[in-house]
Amino acid sequence: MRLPAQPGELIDRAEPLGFRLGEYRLEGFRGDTIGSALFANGRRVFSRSFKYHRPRGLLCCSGHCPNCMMTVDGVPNVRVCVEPLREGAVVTPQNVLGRLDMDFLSVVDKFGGPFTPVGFYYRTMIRPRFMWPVYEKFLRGVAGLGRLDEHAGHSRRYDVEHRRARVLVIGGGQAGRAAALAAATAGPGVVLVDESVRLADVELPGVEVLAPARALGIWEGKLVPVDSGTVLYRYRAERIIVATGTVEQPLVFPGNDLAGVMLPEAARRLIRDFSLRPGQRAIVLAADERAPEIAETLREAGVAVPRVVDLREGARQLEAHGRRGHVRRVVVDGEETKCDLVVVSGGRQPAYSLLSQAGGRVEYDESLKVFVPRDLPAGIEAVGSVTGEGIVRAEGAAAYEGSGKCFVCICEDVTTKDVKRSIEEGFDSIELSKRYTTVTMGPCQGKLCQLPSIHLYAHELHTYEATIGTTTARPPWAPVELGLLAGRHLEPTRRTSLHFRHEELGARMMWAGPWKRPYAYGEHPEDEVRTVHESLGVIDVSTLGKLLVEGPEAAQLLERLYPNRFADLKAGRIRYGVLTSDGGRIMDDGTVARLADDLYYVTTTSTGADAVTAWFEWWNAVWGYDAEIVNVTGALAALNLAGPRSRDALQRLTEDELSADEFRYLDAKHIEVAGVPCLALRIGFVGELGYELHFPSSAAEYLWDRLLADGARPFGLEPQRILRLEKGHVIVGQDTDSESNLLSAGMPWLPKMDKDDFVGKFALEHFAERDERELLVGFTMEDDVVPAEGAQIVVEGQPAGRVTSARRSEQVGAVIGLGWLPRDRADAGTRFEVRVDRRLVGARVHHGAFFDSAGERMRS
Amino acid sequence: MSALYFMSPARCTPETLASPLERGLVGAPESLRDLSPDGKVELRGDLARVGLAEGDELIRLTPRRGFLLTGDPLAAIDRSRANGVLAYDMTGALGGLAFEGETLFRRLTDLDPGALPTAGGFARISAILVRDEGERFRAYFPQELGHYVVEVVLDVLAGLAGGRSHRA
Amino acid sequence: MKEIFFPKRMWRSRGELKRRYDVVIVGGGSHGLATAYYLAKEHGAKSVCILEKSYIGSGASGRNTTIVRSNYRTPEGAAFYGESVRLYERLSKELDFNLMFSQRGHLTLAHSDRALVVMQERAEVNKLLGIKSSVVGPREIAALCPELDLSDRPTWPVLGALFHPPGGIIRHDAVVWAFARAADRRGVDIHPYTEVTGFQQSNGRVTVVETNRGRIECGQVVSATAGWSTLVGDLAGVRLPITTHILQAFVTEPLKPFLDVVIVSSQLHVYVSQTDRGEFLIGAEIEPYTTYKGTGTLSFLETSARHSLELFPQLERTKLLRTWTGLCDLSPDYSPILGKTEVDNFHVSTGWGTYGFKAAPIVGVTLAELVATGKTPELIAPFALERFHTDTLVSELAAAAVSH
Ligand SMILES: Cc1cc2nc3c(=O)[nH]c(=O)nc-3n(C[C@H](O)[C@H](O)[C@H](O)COP(=O)(O)OP(=O)(O)OC[C@H]3O[C@@H](n4cnc5c(N)ncnc54)[C@H](O)[C@@H]3O)c2cc1C
Ligand code: FES
Repeated sequence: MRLPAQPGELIDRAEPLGFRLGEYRLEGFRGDTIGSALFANGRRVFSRSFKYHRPRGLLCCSGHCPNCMMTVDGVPNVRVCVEPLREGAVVTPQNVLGRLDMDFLSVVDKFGGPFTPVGFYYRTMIRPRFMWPVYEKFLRGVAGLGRLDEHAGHSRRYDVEHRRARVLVIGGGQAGRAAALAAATAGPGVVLVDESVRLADVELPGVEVLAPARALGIWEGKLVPVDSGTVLYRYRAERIIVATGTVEQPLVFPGNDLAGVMLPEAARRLIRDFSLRPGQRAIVLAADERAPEIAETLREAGVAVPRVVDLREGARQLEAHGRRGHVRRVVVDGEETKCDLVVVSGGRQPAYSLLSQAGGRVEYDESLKVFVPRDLPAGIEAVGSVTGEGIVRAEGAAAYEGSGKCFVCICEDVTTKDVKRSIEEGFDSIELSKRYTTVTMGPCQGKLCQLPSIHLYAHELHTYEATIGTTTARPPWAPVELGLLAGRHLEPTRRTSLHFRHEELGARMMWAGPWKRPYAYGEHPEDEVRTVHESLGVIDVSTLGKLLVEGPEAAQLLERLYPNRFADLKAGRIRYGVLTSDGGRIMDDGTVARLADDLYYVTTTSTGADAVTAWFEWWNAVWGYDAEIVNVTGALAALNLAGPRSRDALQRLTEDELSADEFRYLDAKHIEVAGVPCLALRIGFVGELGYELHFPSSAAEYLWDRLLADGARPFGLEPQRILRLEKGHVIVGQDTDSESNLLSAGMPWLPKMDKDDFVGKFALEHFAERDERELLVGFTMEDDVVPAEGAQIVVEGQPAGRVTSARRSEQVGAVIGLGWLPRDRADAGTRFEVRVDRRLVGARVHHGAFFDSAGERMRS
Repeated sequence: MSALYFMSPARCTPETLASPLERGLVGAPESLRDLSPDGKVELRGDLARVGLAEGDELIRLTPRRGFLLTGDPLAAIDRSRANGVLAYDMTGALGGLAFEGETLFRRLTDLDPGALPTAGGFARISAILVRDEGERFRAYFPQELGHYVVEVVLDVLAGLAGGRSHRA
Repeated sequence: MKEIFFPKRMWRSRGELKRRYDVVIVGGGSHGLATAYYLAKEHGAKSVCILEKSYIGSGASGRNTTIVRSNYRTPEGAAFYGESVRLYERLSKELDFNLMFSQRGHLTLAHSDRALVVMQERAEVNKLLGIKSSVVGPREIAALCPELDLSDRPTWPVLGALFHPPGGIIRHDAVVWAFARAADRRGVDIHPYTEVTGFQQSNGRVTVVETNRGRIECGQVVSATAGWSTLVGDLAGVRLPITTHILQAFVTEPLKPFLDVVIVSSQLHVYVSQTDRGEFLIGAEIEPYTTYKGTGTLSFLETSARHSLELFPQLERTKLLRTWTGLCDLSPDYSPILGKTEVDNFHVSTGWGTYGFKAAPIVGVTLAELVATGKTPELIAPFALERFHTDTLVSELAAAAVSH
């Protein structure tokens, strides 16, 4: 089957490779593509078309068209004409019911033809309405191309590599190579990428050659991702030279999609690269100057070429006929030629996509009859035929007359009839018609049909191509695997210094914003709640955001950022603070401890650290205070030791005095615990006597172990939520949302409206004037049912409010919660109804803490 | 005594200290070294006035913001503060990892290996990157992401060891 | 059906501008066309035109990812979108054009317990308003979408989802064309390639609309210009609290269909559906900066691909085919701005962000009513521009991380 060794053939005849096509065992050589090996084994039909299931064979042999898409080793839609053959590869045809040469769905082609004109689906299956899902199911059954193994998982390792180039040359043809060599004389940093394996062994002095590899696009900042298989090279180039050459264009005539109809490059590659004879008897049809040259190439390979037609001489009628999808004869202006190969040349269109995507303009060149790139952005150049240079004007009909289906767009099975019809129906601009007919929307993205379809529109609309214009070039230049774009699938995860301790203790870990945190350590979070109430619990709160604000004007800065006062806070004391936006909405909350006159220690919510830091820095830049803001979140671990036994337990580990008089509620103190220096904050989020210890994160495991050895029992996030709910403490972001303000969220006492100014003051004044529609209040359920968080409070059948927190509390002996209620139902004791599992359950409003409302326990 | 002494691991007894990379680096190649325990100080103010000790390495992030690698963070902090530059002990805040190979570097960050030290994106997080002789690099990153960074670096190394992509 | 064999023009070819129209609608997207259609159909308006600076559907209407649903968070939003979905359900028949509205079910995934709470709230609001919506667990998700990776391999495993059975996708072009055809047949003049360049006003009313093809006297003006609404608003002296961002999307090469539901993940900022052509249609969140520049970003492709593979690792070797961008007009509370402005006869439809396509029919119905009667329909009263002066926002923010 093979020709005698060709100069420069890619195959290594000494190394045969076995592979399978369905049930057949076949053989090719190393260096073959799967496509060439199949061709060598006599296969001519490679696929079935998208809509009509017409048999299709090699057309471009360059990886553009969809004709050779097959499933290889389970991966669908592989263009086998450029896919290297490997030992043991398993190739299966796709989009076929039956066999490639006997596809039962090809009835669509025979009988469906008249029934599937363009726009068919829009016009049918409308009535009866309930049948549409059934129709749709059928449509989906026959849609698509390859079939995916729907349950496969990750199978490959992809990665991305960032590279730099002084000059990046895209395209390794003559022009590209020359440009690369010229650039290399000015110094190093020249890279040339090319799709072809041929370039892999090419040595260009001073140039790094990357092949086979494909530039996918040119993005802002001269960023060029290059697809090399499993590594995506992300090039940043100072200068980009595009030498992508041209794409050979097919001719539009009836039968132009038969197997055996090929572009010149396809025939050339079969001969030159794989030493295959593309056919026995060929006819050459060229609308440009290349007919003799093509015929010569074919003849040298032993193909009989009985007829060579230069279409510039004005042929009008042209049609091809075949049997079983393979071309048998061609009729040109009534004169018939028997053949099994038709090599067609409709001219060459500059492959300008990358340039237009980079910001270049695309313009129709009347003299060349192709689109050419113009006005390239700075630093981006084009060389060679992509500029239009060297292209000879092709002179053929927009579409040739004849009988049979005549395809403008092979990928999408769009015929000239479809295009004409769309125009008649009023889809008279290229963009509209493209959407209606789907021309250019297939796997080749218009590489093979953009130009022909525009010629056709111009012809049909009696206007100029320049008036029609092109559609937008959209990246990528060629289809690219999602896995390659995705790269590594590891995602950043924040772990506290105690993460592995929690895991060792069997904690159930959960996501809390960007952090992983323990939900609870055992099956029963209530047990952990009880421990805190009765003896001693410890929770890892290292995720709290922690900021230092230091400088002579630190006090002024905070005074203006917060609605309440911080300038009068004494060193060594702590105050709760809530941040509001300019719109008066609640943003974040936490405690602020004054460590010295010019030094504050601010905590934020676990998810708020970065946003609060940015917020502080932004305002500080606006106001220009002499204060530094330092985010020290990760530097410090934080543990909250809580429960009636916490003072005694802590005292055993420190020599510092912890008595109620020496270390009062809301004091901040430096103490040393088991040899670790700590900032201890006496606060009571969970409502019991407690100390929040902040200390170097590197010592976290050590101190944790000591506390546990001393009898403290760990508690997780869920028990903490129950504990704070018992105190009626709000969680910002759970009980509040983007619209909540201090007045409505039950904290009207917090903002000091007599302060000169603070962020959000204007809005709060406005809120104070109007009545809030809703208020955040506590409630107790009448029955022992726990409404879902998010459950609706219903008034007269309509949603009137919502539950934001709800838990059963052993301590309170009831189901308690927080929720938003209409103002007129928010007074203490008011009864209202919540929807739980389709029924309405009564509840009563409760103001303040549910337990120890005077706060004696946490102050004790 | 500074009001911020509770930030300094150097004030803890050494046996109380652990590194965020410890677990991830078990069995890792020797070319990866854990630098987390090394002294690191964040500086705010006129960086020209920071007094440097022998072996100190100052990385300027902005004209008024710097990052100091030092063997003795406590002394460095005292010295800078005495010179009117605010200083914070970030030893515990940042994990540090030394690694080798420019390809590994390029798979982790789009920063220019020829323009270090600098701060920027690294393994999809932010880090400070430093270059040592030849193809040796150091990265400093939030310690809470340290375990993740090690996972990524080991994954990239495995990829590099697995050879080239299937097509190349 | 007859039209299959005997193609009839969808619409008249563009005519000359008339000297005067009672109603001038700026913007030939789904909203403008729907408004024109309902004006003609419901209110018998005789003198209506649409001015479109490019071809019809050239804006977001022809670029969106076509998700239609009504499981919104606020009662106001849910009621409004609920009505729109009901209209869409009848529209193929009414317009005699198959819009391929495929109510295949819509799943919004929760990867954290916070997200579950927000979904619970949405489900509860929806149920009260008669909208099918419920929170489902992994087992039910597996039954609806066995291909989804529900293991704990992903960084953010799936904990549950908000299931909305009537949600689905539709053919965006079909909606645009069907409204255009129906409006045209009822006498509405559609003027593509006609750009509004200014307005003349007197006594607080727009009297003349200026275009690149000449001037038109007008009774009332509706601006349905979405991503361009601030520019057109400026021409009329109406300032809108809108910022314009780009949103990107991509499709893969076609595969035999296997994904029948629409999958949305706010945590991962992606949503995935498979079209009737077999392509996977994947979109993400808007770019955070404001721009009119239509070039997309590589990082969008990378991030969305990575996040899609967290959900569907089997798509690893599926190839991305084509990407595009569109404009999104974002309002501060993620709810639309609809109806009257301070200029008496100048009405707007804007603030559609990434979710306005599903609203086209109801926008058409309500704006037509407003224009015809001068009264703001109840359903859209909460979405008045005025709310930004009274600070009574309708916040979809909490539910809106990815909100198509
Ligand atoms: C990528 C993407 C995905 C989306 N996904 C969804 C989704 O899944 N579900 C959903 O419901 N929504 C989605 N949306 C949002 C939705 O597409 C839009 O909200 C909706 O289409 C807006 O319709 P419209 O008719 O108001 O605007 P458009 O369709 O944008 O129409 C506005 C028209 O005004 C014209 N115009 C502008 N200025 C002038 C002028 N001066 N003179 C004349 N004409 C002018 C424009 O050319 C344009 O055609 C998405 C949007 C994008 C970009
Ligand atoms: S031929 Fe490929 S898209 Fe038309």
